[in-house]
Amino acid sequence: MSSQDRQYERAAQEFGGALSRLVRGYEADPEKRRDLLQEIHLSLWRSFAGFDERCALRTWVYRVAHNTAAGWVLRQKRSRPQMLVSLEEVDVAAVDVRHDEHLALDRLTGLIRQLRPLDRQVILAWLEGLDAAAIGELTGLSSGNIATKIHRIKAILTKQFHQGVSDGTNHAG
Amino acid sequence: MEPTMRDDELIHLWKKQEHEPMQFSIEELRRDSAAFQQRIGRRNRPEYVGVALVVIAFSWMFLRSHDATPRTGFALIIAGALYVAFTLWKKGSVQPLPGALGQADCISFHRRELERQRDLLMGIWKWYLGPLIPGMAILVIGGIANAPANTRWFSEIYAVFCVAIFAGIGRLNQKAAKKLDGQIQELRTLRKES
Repeated sequence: MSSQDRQYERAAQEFGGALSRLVRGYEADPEKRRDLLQEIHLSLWRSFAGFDERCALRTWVYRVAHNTAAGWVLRQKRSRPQMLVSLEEVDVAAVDVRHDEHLALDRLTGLIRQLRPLDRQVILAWLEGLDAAAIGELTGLSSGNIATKIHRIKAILTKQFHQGVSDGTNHAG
Repeated sequence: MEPTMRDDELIHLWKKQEHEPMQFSIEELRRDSAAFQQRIGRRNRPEYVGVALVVIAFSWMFLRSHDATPRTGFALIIAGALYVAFTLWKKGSVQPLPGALGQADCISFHRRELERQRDLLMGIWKWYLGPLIPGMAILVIGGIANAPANTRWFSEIYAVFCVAIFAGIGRLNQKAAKKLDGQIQELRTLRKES
């Protein structure tokens, strides 16, 4: 097995779940989502032929995934024109998502898919638990810009998810 | 105030969502890679079909005509269409290096993609419309010059129609390029601030 294959397998094992979640933020149609995920895995495998280890594996994987997905959005925009907005322009209505995690997730992914690629990348990275420095390395944004965007993301989410998911059972520790 | 879903709850909810276990074997990816290259090759197929139709139609007209002026026009349109096909093939053959997706951060990568699209739109007169103009001009001007006086108006209207179509396509592309330019500038500003 070549080094490229080994690196891909390690990345797929470590970040496979994150990549599956990431595509949900980019594509609503399940069939097309599978195509996008396959394209991301293909890009990732091909990319390891040029992996120079100048950045962390995680940064590399997320960059490949988001750059591939952003290309996908641009191609879809050509065939299905859709207005994408920035975090500053997005308008949300408060919804009651108590007792319904699926509704909460639908609302969240729906919100993410309205956003322009860069804002989508920030919110998806934030949801994956990346800190500001890691988001900066991924996107190329300054920490100041990221702080502003995360602040805006939190304000939007607070407005949208006006109610708790449920009464205690689903809370993170 | 109503209770609000906390940040950590949302992150937890996001991370615990179910996903279909999709795994791709190395063999499968190798096969996909070959199919991917073929797909890239087929991407411009509709344009190539269009060029082929133009070449066939104008070759037929070239062979049927015995007059030097229209024959020159037909030949120039065929040459122009072949140049368009060659440019499409050349542009479509340029593939990013395998590592490029991981080396560039999202802003740089996205900006480069938008710049590539903008340049293609801005250059439409050079690689798409321009090469067809000499042949079209000879046919249209020759048509007006050779038309009998009582039907010349028809050739003149046809000339205006051709100019309007070319100008319209050029204008639409310029407009789209300008829009992309705005997005590129936004990304540049973000990069400067970084």
